Amino acid sequence: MIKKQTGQVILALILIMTVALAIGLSVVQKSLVDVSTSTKVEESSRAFSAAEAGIEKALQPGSTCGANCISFSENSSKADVAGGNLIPCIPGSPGCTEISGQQQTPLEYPPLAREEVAHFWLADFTSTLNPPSQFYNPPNHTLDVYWGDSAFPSDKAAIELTLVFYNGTKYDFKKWYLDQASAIRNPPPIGFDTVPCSGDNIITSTVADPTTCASSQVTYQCKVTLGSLPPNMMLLRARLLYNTNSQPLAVQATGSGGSCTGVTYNGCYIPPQARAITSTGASGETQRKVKVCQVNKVVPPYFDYAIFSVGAISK
Amino acid sequence: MKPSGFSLIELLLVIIVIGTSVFLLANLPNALNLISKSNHLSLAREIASKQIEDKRSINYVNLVLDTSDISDSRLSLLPSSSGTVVVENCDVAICTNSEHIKKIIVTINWKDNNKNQTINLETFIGEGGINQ
Repeated sequence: MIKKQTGQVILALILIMTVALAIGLSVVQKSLVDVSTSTKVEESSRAFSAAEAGIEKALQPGSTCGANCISFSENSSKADVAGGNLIPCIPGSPGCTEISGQQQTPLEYPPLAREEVAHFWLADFTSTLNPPSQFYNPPNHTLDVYWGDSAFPSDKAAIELTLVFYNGTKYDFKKWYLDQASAIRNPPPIGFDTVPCSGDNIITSTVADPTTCASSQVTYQCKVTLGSLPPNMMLLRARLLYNTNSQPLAVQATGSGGSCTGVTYNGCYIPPQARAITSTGASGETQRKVKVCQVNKVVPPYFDYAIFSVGAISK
Repeated sequence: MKPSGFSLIELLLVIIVIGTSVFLLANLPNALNLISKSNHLSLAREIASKQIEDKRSINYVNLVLDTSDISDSRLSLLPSSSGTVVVENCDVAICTNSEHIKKIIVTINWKDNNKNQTINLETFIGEGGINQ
């Protein structure tokens, strides 16, 4: 009898072994990937904890923290901290990149949700006098305000600004209601001024710059120059309206020139009042970064509906 | 007359295939152990992170300087596991200005194939800091 089916057994054998090989390879590959991932995730946790530790240390008053601020040798993690100086710095002061007489960099606030309030000090908030001594009082009596993020072109925010100042005998306030797109509001807003937002409205902050409170590089939607500002300005409070996404805002002092020197800088600059602290934690090859913006002596939002009084209030 | 038997190439191929598959199969239990080990590592990390977050949500003045055991129900998923949370004052070497900072050290130990494994997370909590 002729054997017609020679070689079939070996073919079957090879097929079965190939399948087994494929299964085995996939199991081994999964285990290798798993181990690598879990090691990296553990390092990531250690790096994040170290980064948070750096922030905690830098937030303490009187603390100086820089590179290698934190070093946990027992679990091989460390953190470098950058920033921590008061911003916006006064041009010409030690450590400030702007030279004397240059315009001050804008003070950028982290993104605000709708109805949240941003608070900018214009008087010297460390002053022990009552009312606090004035700090910002430029010769041209103006202040630039930027708001909105151009990355959201269809989410146009309106802004409500409240300037609190001391008129000699009592605290007074001045309000602006500015909208860049009143036509699309429903119902239409009453009492808002329309501002055309175009042209000269760009500030860009650098993501890598640890000395700004902005959370990322921003091109603002709108810029407005508030004019005819009264003397003895205390603070400016800004509230964003109609926005869906959280959007950033900034104010910038308009004073510049050779006369912006002296103890009070001739009122050209707004007082340094915020701190931006960036902490980069590292463990092994993994790095995690935490950024914190700290603003001191901020009045909570419900004080917008309260009374500022020089003396005691009696009912 | 055609000789019966196997050709050289067939033999070589079979030897190679059998050798590789034996090697892989022998490593299969090893691979499964590695997967289980990495799962445990991830779980331990989750438990440790949660302990730190829990400490951050406590007011700074209420953070007691002590060593306490971790009581997380997920700890039972790790074989022969135990964990401690140590709250102590910040080292004078790091906190040179005697800042109000406390150091948190979370350690979790467990056994994988009778080998001791441990993970360690350390951080600071300061008065008026994050979440305070």
